Amino acid sequence: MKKIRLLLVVIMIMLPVFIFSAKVVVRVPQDPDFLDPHKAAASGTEEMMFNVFEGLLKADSNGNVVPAVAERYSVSPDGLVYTFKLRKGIKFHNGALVTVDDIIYSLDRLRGANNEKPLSSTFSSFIKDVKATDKETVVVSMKELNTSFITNFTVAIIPKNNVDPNKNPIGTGPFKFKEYLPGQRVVIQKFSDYWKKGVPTIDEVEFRIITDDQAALLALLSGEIDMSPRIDVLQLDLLSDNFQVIKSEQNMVQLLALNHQNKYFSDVRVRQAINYAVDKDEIIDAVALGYGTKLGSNMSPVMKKYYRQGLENYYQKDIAKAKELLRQAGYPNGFKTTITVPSNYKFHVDTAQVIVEQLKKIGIIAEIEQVEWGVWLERVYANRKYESTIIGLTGKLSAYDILKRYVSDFSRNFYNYSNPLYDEIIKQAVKETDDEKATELYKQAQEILTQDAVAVYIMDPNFINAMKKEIKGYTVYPLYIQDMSVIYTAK
Amino acid sequence: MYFYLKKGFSMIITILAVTVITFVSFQIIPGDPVLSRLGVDADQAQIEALKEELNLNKPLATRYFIWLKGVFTGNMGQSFRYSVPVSDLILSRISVTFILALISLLLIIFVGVPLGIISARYNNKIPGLFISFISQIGMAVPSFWTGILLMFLFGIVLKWFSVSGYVSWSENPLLCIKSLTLPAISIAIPNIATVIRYMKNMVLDEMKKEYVKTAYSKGLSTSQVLSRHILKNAIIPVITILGMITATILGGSIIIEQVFSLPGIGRLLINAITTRDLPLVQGIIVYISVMIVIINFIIDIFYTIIDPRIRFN
Repeated sequence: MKKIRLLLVVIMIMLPVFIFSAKVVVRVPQDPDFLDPHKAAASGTEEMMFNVFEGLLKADSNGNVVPAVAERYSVSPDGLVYTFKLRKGIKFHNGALVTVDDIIYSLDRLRGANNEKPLSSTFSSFIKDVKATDKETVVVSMKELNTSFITNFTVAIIPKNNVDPNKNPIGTGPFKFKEYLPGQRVVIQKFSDYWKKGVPTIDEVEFRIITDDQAALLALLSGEIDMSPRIDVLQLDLLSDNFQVIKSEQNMVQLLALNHQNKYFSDVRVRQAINYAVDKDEIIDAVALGYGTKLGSNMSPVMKKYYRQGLENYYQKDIAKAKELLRQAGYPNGFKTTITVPSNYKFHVDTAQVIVEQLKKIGIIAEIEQVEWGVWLERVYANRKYESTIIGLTGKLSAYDILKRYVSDFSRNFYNYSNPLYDEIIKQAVKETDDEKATELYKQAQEILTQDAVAVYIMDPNFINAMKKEIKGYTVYPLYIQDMSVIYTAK
Repeated sequence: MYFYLKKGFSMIITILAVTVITFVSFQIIPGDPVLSRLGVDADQAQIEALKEELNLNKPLATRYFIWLKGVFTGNMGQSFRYSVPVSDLILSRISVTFILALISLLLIIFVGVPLGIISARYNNKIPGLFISFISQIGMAVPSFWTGILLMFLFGIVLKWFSVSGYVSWSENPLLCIKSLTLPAISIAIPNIATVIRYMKNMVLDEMKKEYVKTAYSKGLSTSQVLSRHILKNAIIPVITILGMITATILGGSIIIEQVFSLPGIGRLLINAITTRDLPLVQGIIVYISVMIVIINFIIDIFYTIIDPRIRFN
């Protein structure tokens, strides 16, 4: 009897320990923009809500799309019709079964069917029709061929009868939404009816919003948060043995973008001169302490299949050649210019400082102008009123979505790049049903970007994630997300 | 009564003027609330939808009058960034700022005032010089740095207090106070130093006056003269300073809240400004203005209690 009582006491004491260990606190630097997945655009939101929402398809850690809400799918030989079979018995977080009506509702909401305003211009411009042929089959027909469209089906499927998807987000993912306190935290909870058995193992995840990097480091050191993704590389030395650090390429392209409407940068020789003057290795060493992968075009090696190798060293540092190119362009004594950098990204600001020094050697006097993120988005990104800027472009699942940023009529072609040959290659690639040929075209497109010296492609800064040693199973994705479903805790 | 009516009226005009200036300056400064909310990957369709949701397609003056009309009916509008009512956001943040202000104010009064008196009492002696030295350092060191040092010492090395993760009063009052102690100390330190210097100078000024001589000639000891006569006269300017400090803390200690990740008014304001969340900025500005009016009012009352000769003019 006494022993049983003792055992009970022990269990009682252990219980809160177990409950506690099943909760993981992750630092995020900002609030979500929208909890409604169709209105959300920020990658910081996707980072959290990847765990809550799923599309017909979903990204895996290799960057492929795999079935999720759909159990399987097929594409017609001409690439114009997609047929999705609904996964049997799959449920929303509110307990309701997912029906084809919910799928049609979600896709129609995005493409703006029935004269509603669309929430995705990609959906509204490519999808002709969405209909159900029976209770478990949805057929999507396209207006024109787009071989890279398939990745768009990762967008969330949400229930038709949810009145306020922004206040009360409901999806089918491994975690369900619990609460959101603006400026404080987003909490998600294990969804026990998740279709994939065995995951998730942890009960609750709190994404704690800590804007300040210093404060985040202290919170990590004191044990109040368990994981701090994208930690500043300079902070790594301060971590004790209780932490593990995961480093990997992250499918991001950090570049010095040059505005081709600028009188200096409209000349390819000037752009090439800058490419010859910038020493990427030095930047990687100085700013990223070596944790960066050198790039030569707008593609990260993470995109194995599409990555065109060998472009990293197309422009080897060569001051004499750079000066000669500047002379040919008519600026033997260099010129003055401004690099506009978003002040909230210390990494880019640091990079700018190194580049300023490097450009001095060929007579270009660059001045750094730090602007707020909101100003950068408006002035540089949307209105293209800048000379040059440094930014990191987050990777996408498809090569097309990455490379279309340079097509001359793309709404966010903020480099003002215009090359009919490039436009043609991208157009061909997206219409090419032969995968090998398409891949070849995407590689060719990368070569053109390098030859035209559209920008200085610097590096793919490594993704560095510091977490407690007890956290196991962490998986890196080539996307801006944290998959919490595969994580488990163990001593 | 007339005095207060006049004062109240001029305050309302001031607040209105401030909101007009904010409104106009938000049109002049660069940055766009829609873009800064949605970021780099926003789809054109999403941008259009959000613009419409936020009424940004309406002309400037119309938007201001819609907002003003709302304020008089108790509706401060919707936040651009969070899509929730501005008043809800402010209300949810007030408790943090209030408790933080209360703890730091208590520290400032109960540490600053006595130390100021002591340092005046022992002016040019060891205790006085020591306090002056310490207060000099207290004023020179920026509060965010004190904050980080405190966090490191008490949060990481000693693990007595938490360094992030605010616990609200309704969840657990004790943990709430615990989570606010370090930030309150960081806010208090430079202010304590200010109060010490003011208190000391005021006491020293008073000591030179004739009535002090009279008091001494009555046979009172230094401590008696200090507590019965000097303090009453010396404290009045210090109360003004305390009032200003209170208003500043209640308006949100932006840096300290940022360093300690506290969900207070200051962090809300700085977020609202960087995301160009005009309705939220306006709401907070109205809140801060009202706070200042109320505190000035309370200070006026204090004056009349301490020195009945002071009347409404």
